[in-house]
Amino acid sequence: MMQVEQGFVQALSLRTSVVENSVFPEGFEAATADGCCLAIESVHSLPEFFVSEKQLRERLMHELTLVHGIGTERERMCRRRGIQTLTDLRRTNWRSEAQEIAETIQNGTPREVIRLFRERGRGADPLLIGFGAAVPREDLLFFDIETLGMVHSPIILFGCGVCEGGTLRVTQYLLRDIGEEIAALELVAEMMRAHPALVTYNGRSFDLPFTNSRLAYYGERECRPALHFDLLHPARRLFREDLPDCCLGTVEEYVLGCGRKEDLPGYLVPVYYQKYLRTGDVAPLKQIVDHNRSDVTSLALLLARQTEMMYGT
Amino acid sequence: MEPEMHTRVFPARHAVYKEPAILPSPAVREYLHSRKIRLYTHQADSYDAVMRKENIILTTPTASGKTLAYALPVLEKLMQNRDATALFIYPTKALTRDQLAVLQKLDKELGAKTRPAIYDGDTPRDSRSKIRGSSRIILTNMYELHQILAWRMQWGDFWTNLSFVIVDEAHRYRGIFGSHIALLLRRLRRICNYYDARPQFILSSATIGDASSFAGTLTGVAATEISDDGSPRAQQTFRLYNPWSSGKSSLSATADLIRDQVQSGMQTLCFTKSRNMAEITALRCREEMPAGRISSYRGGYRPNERRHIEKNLKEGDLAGVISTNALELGIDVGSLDSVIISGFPGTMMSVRQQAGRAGRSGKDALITFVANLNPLDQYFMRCPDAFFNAPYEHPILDLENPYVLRSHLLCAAAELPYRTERDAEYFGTSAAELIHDLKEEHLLASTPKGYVYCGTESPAQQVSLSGRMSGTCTVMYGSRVLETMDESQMFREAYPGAVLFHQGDRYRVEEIDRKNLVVRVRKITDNYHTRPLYTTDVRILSREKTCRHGDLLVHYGSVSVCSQMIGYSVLEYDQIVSTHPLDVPPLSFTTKACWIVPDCCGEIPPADVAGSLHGAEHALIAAMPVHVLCDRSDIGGVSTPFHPDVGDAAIFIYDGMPGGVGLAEKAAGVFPEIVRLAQEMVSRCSCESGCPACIHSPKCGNNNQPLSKTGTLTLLSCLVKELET
Repeated sequence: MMQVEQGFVQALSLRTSVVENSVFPEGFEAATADGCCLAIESVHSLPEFFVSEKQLRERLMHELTLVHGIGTERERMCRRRGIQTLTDLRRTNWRSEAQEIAETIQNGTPREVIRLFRERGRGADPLLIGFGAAVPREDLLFFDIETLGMVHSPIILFGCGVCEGGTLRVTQYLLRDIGEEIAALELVAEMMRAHPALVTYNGRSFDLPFTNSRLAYYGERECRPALHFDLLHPARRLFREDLPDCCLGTVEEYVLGCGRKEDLPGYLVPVYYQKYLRTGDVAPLKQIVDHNRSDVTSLALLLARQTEMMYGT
Repeated sequence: MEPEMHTRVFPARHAVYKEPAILPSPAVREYLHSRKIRLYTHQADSYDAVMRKENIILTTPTASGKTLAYALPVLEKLMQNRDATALFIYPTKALTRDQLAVLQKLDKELGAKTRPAIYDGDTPRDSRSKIRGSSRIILTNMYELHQILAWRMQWGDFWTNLSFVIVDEAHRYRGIFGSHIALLLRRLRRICNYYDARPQFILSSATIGDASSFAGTLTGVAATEISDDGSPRAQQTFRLYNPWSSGKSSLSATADLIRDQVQSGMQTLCFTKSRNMAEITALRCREEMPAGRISSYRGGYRPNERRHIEKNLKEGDLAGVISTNALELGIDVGSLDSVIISGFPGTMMSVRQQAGRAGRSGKDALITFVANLNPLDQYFMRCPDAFFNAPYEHPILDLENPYVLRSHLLCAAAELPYRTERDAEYFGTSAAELIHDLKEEHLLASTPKGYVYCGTESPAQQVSLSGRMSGTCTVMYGSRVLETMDESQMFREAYPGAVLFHQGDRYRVEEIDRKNLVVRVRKITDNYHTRPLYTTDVRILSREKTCRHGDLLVHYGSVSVCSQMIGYSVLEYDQIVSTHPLDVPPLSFTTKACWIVPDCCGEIPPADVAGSLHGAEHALIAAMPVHVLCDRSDIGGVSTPFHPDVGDAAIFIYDGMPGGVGLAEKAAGVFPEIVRLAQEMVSRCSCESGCPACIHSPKCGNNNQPLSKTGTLTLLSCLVKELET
């Protein structure tokens, strides 16, 4: 096992020799000051995100209802009178507020624009997903975790996807025993600092708070990504009518047309991992790893698809 | 014939005031001055002790101003340190609501800006984070604390600044329940310690024996007892009244007494032993009273209904309230002229708490104990000294019970990695072995940071602190929720045909949905009530071991305890008019028991065998807490001259919690000590035919019948002899 000097050492990822025990899914040992865990890497093709930040901001300028006092009825009236954008409102009584909003939309940071929407109760507006496609790709982190229980149990696998050139590189941190959780958490925290725009599915209520709660459990600082695109909420808006539920699997099959054939159902993950802990048999781990990898790659596909639905022609 | 009555008069006592040795801040002095409050001795003592950073346990009686005694120094400290926080823990939600109003008022008057708020299972999700972030005084209960300790990310700031933990009505935490709480408070201290916080503990309790060592065991930190009560007392006339001596039932005697007192202008609070008795007594009183002057009060009423009664009692709009022990707690209903205790409530702690509700300044307080027709109550009538001079009870806790400790170790490991050396301070040295077992079971994993919980379920949700069934049953009248009751009450009271009382109205149970815990009732006008008939059986499921002590064999194993309701009687004015059979599923639970098969029954006259076995069972249960470290109410017993599973006479003693908590197991090992103590208790007791000091049990399901003291003594002596051969 790697020895790292004690002291104030930032979580760091070191590529060492491939683990010789080939029964584990193939990977390498990633080490931090607090230990190590197994890192499994794979490279996938990256879907096309075609919206540019300029296009996106132009589209948002059409959202008249961001102005207090303009509902769907008034918006229709405005449109009939030829008022299409926030700029057009300068001829009306809403001038000053519309100007402020337009200023934020045109020149504010993505964070400021998202806050603007949230303050108007539209934090889950699918339009905002566009920022996920518009921010620098290197900032994105597609993130999904597998846990041993619903609350207060360890996270046994962290799936992290980042864009590298035209590809999606998925790094999965797997615990070979529970003692490796702290190292995996530190690596993930480091990853979140390097890639400040998080993309998840239900991560606002689950993946991120769970990760933070585990960091707190070990006395580590929590992660606060600068941007967080949770694709569940827009998915509900976009597909609720057509689908029985909005589980990632269901949405994937319907929207992306890529149903998973031999996938391990999510609820069996704890059972499989417990089986591994009790017997030492690594076979169940492979299925968990495959399941998680599919989740991460789907996040990228879903982000592209949702953006296309919102901004495509 | 004059009814039998014993009277003691306890003289009035003037208030004794004291200035705190430590000068309070100008804000507190201004508050006391403007409201013309002078502190009583115990209030000044507690102020000083808290300011000196001591942990305390306050044991002055009900209505002595205990809340002010601890709230004042706590608020003082919270004003000095604007970051400091305090956690107030109450035993019931009703008391929490009541105390919130008291603390909010005090906070406002002092300008302390602590924003007191309740945080419990009823707190809406969206206001939780705001309360955690902005309230410096949080009121909660033990069940909620048990759940929130694992949410460290959310609670870290509150724990970091935690300066005080207030445990109200601490005497309630005894026996196995108390042992759970003692370990829960150690979990809290462990988490606080992690954030470098060392909160002071402030306990308030009914008067108990050796309070300071009890407080030490409950919290794990040494505590000073504050007991020098300086509050004024009205003259107290305490009567023991035996209606049966003049041929009257306890029920009619109680109802007559309430009516007489209320009509002569005395506001009266009557305590009964059960929910049903409270309702029936109220109904009896109302028959000859103007409506609206008398009310019943108990758990199960809707919160609004309860608050309404509390308010009317306090403001004098109600002349009489008949209550279960629900009003025994510190809910503020003001002081009353008179208290009636109808039947012995089980502990002297309760008697004293209930009696303490009487006594207004300048007026005599009248307290009447109305004896029921059972040997225990009747014994008190024969020996009033045993009642008036009863010693204070000693609550017992066991920190090493492996069943209890095991569950708290799991919870602790899910809250913060567990380190054997560091955490022995909280969980003792016997924890190490359990930790090892839990690791073998793959519930804990050893990591560089300590032991980490790795089960799939949240451990706190798996552990029931009170060990009782947790379901709540709703009683529906049409589309309206009439009241709620817990699952075991539903079994005992809501059978098809049963009459339920609610505020003087009668409702007949029409339909029971056991799956969804819903009972549907219909209102009736007929003047009758019902009483269930049930039997309790113990069946042996497996014998796991047998301990040989001399010639005495003590068996231990799994049993099923099964209560079967076989029917019910319909009563009109206490007269049984008909009896109906019932076919309902039994209520049973599996637990652990130890049992003996005494083979000396031949030496006892056949007519006394059942009474002797029953007496020996009671004596053994009475002797058990000392050697097994539990409360009497944690254990159950059954004795019978013929048990089908052993083919002979048998005495069973079982753990009262489903699954067992190791009490019977421990008892099987130390049986010789238990038998010897029981034999000594009975042989040294000078009573004639049994008393609470020997073979009477305050919670006997058969009203302490049959009992034979001579037979019991023969049986126990015979067991002792067997031990020695």
